[in-house]
Parts: sequence; structure tokens; C-alpha cells
Amino acid sequence: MREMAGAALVLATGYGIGKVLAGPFARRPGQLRDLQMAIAVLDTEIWHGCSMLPDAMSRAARAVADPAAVLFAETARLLAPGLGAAEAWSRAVDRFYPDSACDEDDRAILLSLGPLLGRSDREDQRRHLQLLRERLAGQEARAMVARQRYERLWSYVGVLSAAAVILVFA
Amino acid sequence: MSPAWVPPVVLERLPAQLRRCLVRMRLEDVEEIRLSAGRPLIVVGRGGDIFVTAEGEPTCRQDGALAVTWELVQDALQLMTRSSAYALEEEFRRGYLSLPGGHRVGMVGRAVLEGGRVRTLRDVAGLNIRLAREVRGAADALVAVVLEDRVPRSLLLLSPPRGGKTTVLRDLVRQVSDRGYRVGLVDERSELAGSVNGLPQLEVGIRTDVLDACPKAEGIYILLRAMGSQVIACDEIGDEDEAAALADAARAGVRVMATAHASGLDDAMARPALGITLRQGVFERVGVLSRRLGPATLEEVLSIGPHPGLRVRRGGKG
Repeated sequence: MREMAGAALVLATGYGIGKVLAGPFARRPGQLRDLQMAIAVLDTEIWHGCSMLPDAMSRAARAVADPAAVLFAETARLLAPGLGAAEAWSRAVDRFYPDSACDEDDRAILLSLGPLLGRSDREDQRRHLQLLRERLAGQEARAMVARQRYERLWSYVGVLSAAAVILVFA
Repeated sequence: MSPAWVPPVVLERLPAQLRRCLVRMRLEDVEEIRLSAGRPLIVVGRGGDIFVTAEGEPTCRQDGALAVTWELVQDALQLMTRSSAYALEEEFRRGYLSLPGGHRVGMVGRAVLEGGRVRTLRDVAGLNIRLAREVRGAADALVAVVLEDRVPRSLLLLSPPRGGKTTVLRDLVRQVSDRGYRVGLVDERSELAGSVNGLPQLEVGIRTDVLDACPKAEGIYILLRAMGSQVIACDEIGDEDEAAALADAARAGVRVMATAHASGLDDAMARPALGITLRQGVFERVGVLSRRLGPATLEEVLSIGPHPGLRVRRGGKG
């Protein structure tokens, strides 16, 4: 009886570890979708509302959940007098990235917006933001494929590793 | 350390390198800070142009001055626009930004045209930060002229650029307002009252209604209809619409106070729109300012009627 309980515990642990390792693959598409949604809000605020960038960033942050919200809220906070958009955005990306499921490519795409943010007229800003959304949508499509491939794989790896441990020590 | 001579509201909108330099600078009466890409930093004071080193020391050597780069100008512009250039299309079209406190930033770069008119400025390569100075008493010599017999008189203030017109008009508005007259102020460039979110940051008097960032011609009619102003004031009259609105206000029984670029009455008469208002008798008094004894030196005050060939009275200092 004790052996059965021990084996069940090992299996559950293996399953849990597999889930944790698969987590970033599962969360990344949703977070990339949130980023696109927030950028769409930013675009609307700039194009239709002519809102100042800190206000537009705050509204974009309110439209989505964490961690995407952190990126926009942090940029709004840093856009205090004395810091330009490029520096504020770059620092906010550094704050957002470690807690997100995004990969290095996603980070590089986000960082590319910084030097362009708020520097030109509305039409130009709209072009940059739409391009960014398209690039993030491409990343999301790739993230969905990766999710289908690796989410199940890591779950299997966890369970199978646990089963192997049970067989070795049985 | 004594306080910096450049106001904090301007300092915090400058890149760190420039901020460090200007905080250390110990020049009194700074009027302008000129940033041009590829050229030395120039600070304009009462005595004229001064080069300033990266450490904030005045120098007469051009090559020892802080070198202004393209990036420095772009960073300054980012901070001054709060990274929201897209929201300031009208300001870019007109070529200047207003900062809180009435400070004004002129811009030069490449003009983008649409239908033969300037749509916006791109590649901004130069900024001229003009600092607003609130000088209480700057209009003391004019108050007696404007409020002669306790009846406000319409007044036009003339001077070449940097002659102190705005400073004198602001103080005149304050004094007229505080002496019991309802003044309507159309502050198109937010220089006179330095309003932030509609609230004046500079003293313009307890009975002064400020219409901030409003085109002058439209603003004059709004004040005329809505606020029951006894005196309407605005800065830098130039085009025909503005002159016509002022003339209309004068005909409606309101006294008007305005400024214009001209070195004297003859130059003002030669300017198309301004000349017409002068001939129509919109203004009863004309004050001429210069920098002869420093900014806002009152050279003369002229009493004029509908036919301003006759100069009735002269006064003023200097």
C-alpha cells in the first residue's frame, strides 16, 4: 500500500514538473495577444484621441492583464519629465520581460519600437504601431505551433520520467 | 548652492547633459537658450550672446563651448513634447511649443508643405528656448497713460522682437485688472498667463479671464460675447482676421490692448493689417519699447486718433 502511494506521489510530481516546464509555451500566445491588444489601444489613443503618450500608455495598460499591463503602466510611470520615450520603453521592457513568457525575439521586436515612439506625426506613429502588431501576430502564430508541440511534449516527459523513476526503484 | 537661473520647469525638459551644464551656470537674466545641431551652445542674456562650456562656465571661445549635437536636439525635443509630437501637430505647423510657465520654444527644421502651406516641421535641427520673465512693475509708466481719467484707453505696444512687449503687457493686464476692470486675455501662445490645464501660472490680475491657447480672432469674439470684458488684451497682432476682430471689439465699446512687431509708429502704419486698425482709430495710445536701456525701455507714448498723422503727446523715459 505504501509503495502504491509513493508511486502515485512520484507520478504526480513528474506531471507537475512537466506542466511547469510547459508553462511558458502555454502562456506565451495569450501574452502576445495581450500585447497586440494594448498596442491597438495605444494606436486608437494616438490616432483618434491625440492623447499625450503617458495618458495613452496608462489607458493601454488598463485594457489588458498582467504582465502586458506592466509594460505599458511602467512606461507611463517612467515618462515623467526628464526621461524620453525611448529610454522609458526600454526600461519598461526590461521590467516586463523576466516575468513574461516571451522569448528573446519577442523582446527584440518590442525594443525596436522605443526609438520611434512619439517622435513623429500621427500617420507615422500609426504605421509603426501597425507594423509592430503584425510582427507580434507573426510571433503569436509561431508561439501557437510551439505550444501545440512542446506543451504536450513536456507533460509527457514529466510523466514518463516519473514512471522511469518508479520502475528503477520498484 | 544658489538657485539656478534657468527655471526648473525648463531644466526638467532638457537632456541630462544640458541640464548639468545649465544648473551650474551662474548667469543672471537669461532670456534665451539656443540649441542648433552642429553649433555651440549659446545663452542669450541682457548683455548679448554668451557661449557656455559643458561645465556651465561662460566663455568667449566658440570652440570651448558645449557642442550641440543632432541627438541632443532630438532628445530635448522628445522631453519638451513629452514624447508626444503627434499630439502637437498645430504647434509643429506654427513652429513653436509652449511650456508651462509661459516659456516658448521656437523650432526650425525642414518644412513639409501641403497645398503650398506648411503642414508640419520635420528634422528639427534647432530650438530657441525663450524664457518668460514676470516683472512686476514693468508697466508702471504705462498704467497712468492707459487709465487716464480712470477710463481705460486702448493701447498698442510696439517694439522689434525681444523688446519686452509680452512682459510689459502681462504686467499692464495685471495692474488694470487689479484696479477694478474686467480684462479678457486671449493667450494664444500661452505666454502671457503661462496657463497649465487652463489655470494661469503667472500673475495676470484678479479680474482677468484667460482664454488659453485660443486663436486670437476667435478668442476676441468669445470674450466679447461671453465674458462681458471691459478690456480685451492679446499679444502679437499680425494678420487681417486678428486686426478685424480687434476693430470690431473696439466698435463694440470694449477697450483693447495688444502688441505688435514694429520699431515705431511709421513701421506699424506700413504693415497691412496693423496700418488699417491704426487708421480706423482702434488704438488711442501707442507705446514704443526698445532695448536701449535694457529690455522694455519705454521710448515714447503717442496719443493718436483716427488720423494718426498728429502726435499729440510724448512721454516715457530714456
